[in-house]
Amino acid sequence: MKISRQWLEDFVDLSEFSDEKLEELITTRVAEVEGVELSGETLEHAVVAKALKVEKHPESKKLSLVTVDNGTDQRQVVCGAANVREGLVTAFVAPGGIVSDGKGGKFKISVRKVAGIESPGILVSASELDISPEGEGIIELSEDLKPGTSLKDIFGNPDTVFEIDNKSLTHRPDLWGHYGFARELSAITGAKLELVLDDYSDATEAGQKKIEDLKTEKEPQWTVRIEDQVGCARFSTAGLVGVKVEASPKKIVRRLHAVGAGVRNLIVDLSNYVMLETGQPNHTYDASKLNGKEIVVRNAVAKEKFEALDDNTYNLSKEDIVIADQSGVVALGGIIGGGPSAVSEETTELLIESANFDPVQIRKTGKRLALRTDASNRFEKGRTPWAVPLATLRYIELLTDLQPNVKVSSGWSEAFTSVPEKVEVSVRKGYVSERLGSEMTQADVDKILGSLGFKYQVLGKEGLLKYAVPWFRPARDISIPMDLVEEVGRISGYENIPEKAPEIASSASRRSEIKQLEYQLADLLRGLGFSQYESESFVSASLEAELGYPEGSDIRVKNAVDVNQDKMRESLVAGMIEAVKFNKRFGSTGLLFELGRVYRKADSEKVGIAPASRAYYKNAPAEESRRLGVVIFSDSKGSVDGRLFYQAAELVKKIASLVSPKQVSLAKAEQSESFPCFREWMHPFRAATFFIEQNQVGEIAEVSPELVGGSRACLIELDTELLLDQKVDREFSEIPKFPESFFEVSIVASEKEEFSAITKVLREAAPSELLKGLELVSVYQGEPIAADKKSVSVKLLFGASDRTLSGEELESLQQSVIQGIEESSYELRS
Amino acid sequence: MISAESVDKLKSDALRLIESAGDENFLVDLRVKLLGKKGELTQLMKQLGQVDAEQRKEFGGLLNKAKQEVEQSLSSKQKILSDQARRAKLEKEWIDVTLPKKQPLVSDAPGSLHPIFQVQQELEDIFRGLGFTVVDGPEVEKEYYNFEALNIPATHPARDMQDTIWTTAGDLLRTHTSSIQVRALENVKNTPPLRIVAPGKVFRYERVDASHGHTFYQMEGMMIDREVTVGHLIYFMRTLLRQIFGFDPKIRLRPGYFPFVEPGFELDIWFNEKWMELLPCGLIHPKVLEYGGIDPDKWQGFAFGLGLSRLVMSRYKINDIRHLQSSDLRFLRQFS
Repeated sequence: MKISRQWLEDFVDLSEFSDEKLEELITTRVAEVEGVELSGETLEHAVVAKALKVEKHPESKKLSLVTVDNGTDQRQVVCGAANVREGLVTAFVAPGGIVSDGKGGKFKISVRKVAGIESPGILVSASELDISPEGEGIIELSEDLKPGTSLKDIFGNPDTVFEIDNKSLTHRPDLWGHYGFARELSAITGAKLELVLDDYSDATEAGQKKIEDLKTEKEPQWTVRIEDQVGCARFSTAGLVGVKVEASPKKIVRRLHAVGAGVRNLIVDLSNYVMLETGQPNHTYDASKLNGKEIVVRNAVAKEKFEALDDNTYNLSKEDIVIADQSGVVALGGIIGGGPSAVSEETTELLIESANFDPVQIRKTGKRLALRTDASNRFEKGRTPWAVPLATLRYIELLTDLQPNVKVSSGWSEAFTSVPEKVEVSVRKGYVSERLGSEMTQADVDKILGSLGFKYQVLGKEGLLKYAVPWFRPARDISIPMDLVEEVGRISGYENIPEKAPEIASSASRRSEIKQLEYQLADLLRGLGFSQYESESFVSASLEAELGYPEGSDIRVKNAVDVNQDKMRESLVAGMIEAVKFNKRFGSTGLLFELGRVYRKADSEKVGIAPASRAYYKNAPAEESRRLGVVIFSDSKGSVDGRLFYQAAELVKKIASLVSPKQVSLAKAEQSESFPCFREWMHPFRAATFFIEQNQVGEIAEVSPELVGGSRACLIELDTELLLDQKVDREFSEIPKFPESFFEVSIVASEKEEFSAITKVLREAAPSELLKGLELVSVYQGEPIAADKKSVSVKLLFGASDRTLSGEELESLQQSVIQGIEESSYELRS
Repeated sequence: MISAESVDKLKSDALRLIESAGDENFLVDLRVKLLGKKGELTQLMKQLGQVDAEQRKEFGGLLNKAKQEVEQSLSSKQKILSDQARRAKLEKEWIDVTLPKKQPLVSDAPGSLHPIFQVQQELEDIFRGLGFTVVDGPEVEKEYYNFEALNIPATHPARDMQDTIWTTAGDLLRTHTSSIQVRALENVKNTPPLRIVAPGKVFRYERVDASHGHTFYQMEGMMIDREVTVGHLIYFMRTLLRQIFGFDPKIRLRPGYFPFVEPGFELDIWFNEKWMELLPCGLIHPKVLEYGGIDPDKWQGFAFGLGLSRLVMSRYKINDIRHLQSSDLRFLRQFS
């Protein structure tokens, strides 16, 4: 919302404050000023000039050469306006002057050639002067004006306009007009309000009297009825006759223009002006176009049609609030007036409406019809019905001032169905300054609250203070003692509150175990050359389905920002594959990882299982698992012999060693419902899940090559909480005092026999208490081994804690191993 | 001439052939033979014009049905064969996944940590030093914790301030990390004091461009104790900023409207010769304390929300928020 400084100064004297100071005061005490601009800056640079002679431009039909008297000299300028003529008194800007472009921008005039002829200055329009939105042709001024007179003397000085962030006014319906800001500035600066518009509300005695006077001046001719349960707390009308639809005076035009409002004619402009001043929306009907003498506020009938003054016809629904006369809907309550009853050139009788509507209903209707207006925007903030008379009384006052022949034809008539309760807040003496942590005395506090319109009385012996909340502040804004703390804090200035260390024990806290682990993982991977990335939590459901994550327990997004992001990812894999596809364009290899969450519908059976790190997840709608995803990619050569896979497998062992010294094992990934398992994206012959002891932690697989065309990639995905579950407290074990012994065996097995199956046979054959380890020595295929077989050599390590194994012992161990092999499906290679 | 029998025979012969197909090329040829311009089924279709209207309708229906069945059968067989072919090809790449083959990973890349992660870690360390515990909560959240319990009822205009992404189940993606507040209060039950920070992703329904993302990062902070004042809040914020920036930045507090704090502030810092909005904060609204089962007469607190994405972008002069959610190594490697 834009606020004009000159308009504020109608109400409060701000002459001792610079624009910068006012901006600071408004921002730090009231609401954020987003920008400050000068409106009508050109007035400083323009003077009255008279066109003495108008000739055709030799090169252009549209241009004229105008000899002007600008009070200082006579010169010839080029002019493109159609209305230029000899004798016209208009405005001239010399080179060096600033002119508005009529679109919010400004430029500096220089001497330049226009179609070959130099123009030392220009004649300007009202929009170029930045005093009106209208700019058809150059401005036409009164013939009595003397050339050379500054335009400032005619239109006033440039005005400063403060642009207020609307979001910071969400809770302050009282600030949606200039008067609201003037009232705040009066409280902040101590300057007295020179015109008190509160006296126009019947929440005050002065206002009540004004309404009585209006009734006395002329009996109400109109009756008003609000039907039950319609979201309208108050509806009022007053009628005027003898109005003349004419152009608004320049002050009103300039102000409306300065705050970005349009300009039409006095009758319509004044309605806007009053709203921008008081904050109270209102509407003027051409009374001669209304039927009957009763206005009914009711809900629309389903599918009722309404022709609005924006030339659109709206289909209404039954919760919409409409204003109706005898023959039908004449306005959409609180949002927009009707077309047929709108003020036109011929209008002489007015019916002024000022009312109060329910914010929720106004918002709903506005949303459904995609129709938001200055009026609906204000009602959405929840206005008080006490402000209703402000608009009507002020409108009549301003119009009769400008058009003395205007007479009241129908006095104040209203329906007031929901009178707001008076709000009072009681606080203990000293409470406000205690909560602020400031040194302010109670007298200081009361003075500030008083300046904002809060009146108080002392209750009982404990010194409880009861403050009456002023009528213009809604209960939503002020209803509890803390609200008073805010009022006092902001008006006195938060910079005046001393900072203070709290008197509490401060001790450093520990990192949670899961965070600690994630940081260790990140450090480990970074050290190995991996780059961490973050990706979006959304994926395409159909893409994930293709990758092997079917519908079922997934979390779907209802209003996805992008149609390809309609699901909360169930795995990091889609993002990892995307990372490969993206990065392979810039390099043939890459190492990446992500620490992120994946989402599935919460499993009701698991509710109640809350690890320490999950204390804040009670009844969460989704099961959010923490995952680590690791990407190793290379060109197609990188996958020869499964190199990428074995690199990843090595890495997994390093990762596991962060939590446990226990053995990591891999097994071919199997089909299953739950993580980890085989999925469609995996290379069917290069996919495994991995375990720490018997516990599954994650999966490693090469990506099926067609998914990363031209490249090869191997991915690891593991659940960091499952990994943490495997954490063991380290315990020292005695360093062996006696050397270990070993022997090797070579086994011939079918070419696709897994190493794990072979070691299983060996382990079963060797006494476990003496077997210290099994190591792969080599795998051999080729002559003299049969074509569908391979030879696997394994080293077996043996030892005992209390002795060195003797030659005989070793001999017998070897025998039992050999016997085990012979009893198996393998052959011993001799 | 066309007849019900001829259609039926053509169909069953075709289906048998498809079933027996052993490779994809055979199917391609078969498709042409049946459905091509001069295909057998197409030929029959052409004969339809020569029979009378009644029969035309009957045969037409039969033919269409036959055509559909044949097409379906062709494509499902094709899928089976191509899956088989793909599998056979990949089977040549069989490896023993259980083999403990020594294959060390050698890379000359420097390795890097994501800028959000780095700054978050740094902030967490600062807060841990000030006695705050680092926690996290759900990103898919109940409407209750994101709005209701933060004193933002359904009809509150503040709901319009944050465009929300909803799930089909009627839950939402948290629009701010403040959703942790009442969870934290419930968790401490009646035994404050409490000091937490909760960093994480938040989501808004917003069109994406260089300065707007539908996903960004915040860090919520919250302290509950006895007799907490605005003066304490200012002390903590200043201490925090001093640690983040390494010097005492010029700051100002101004009124800011958030339904879950009262009074509510925006904290601005003087940066590049102008005020920059950095940190919304305030004393926790008594209603929020009550939602969390804490007696506001006995305990008070303050809360603040740090815009992590914004902080990271200004620190590293990142000009496009979309970089923060990308896997582009050319971006990531700059943070080694």
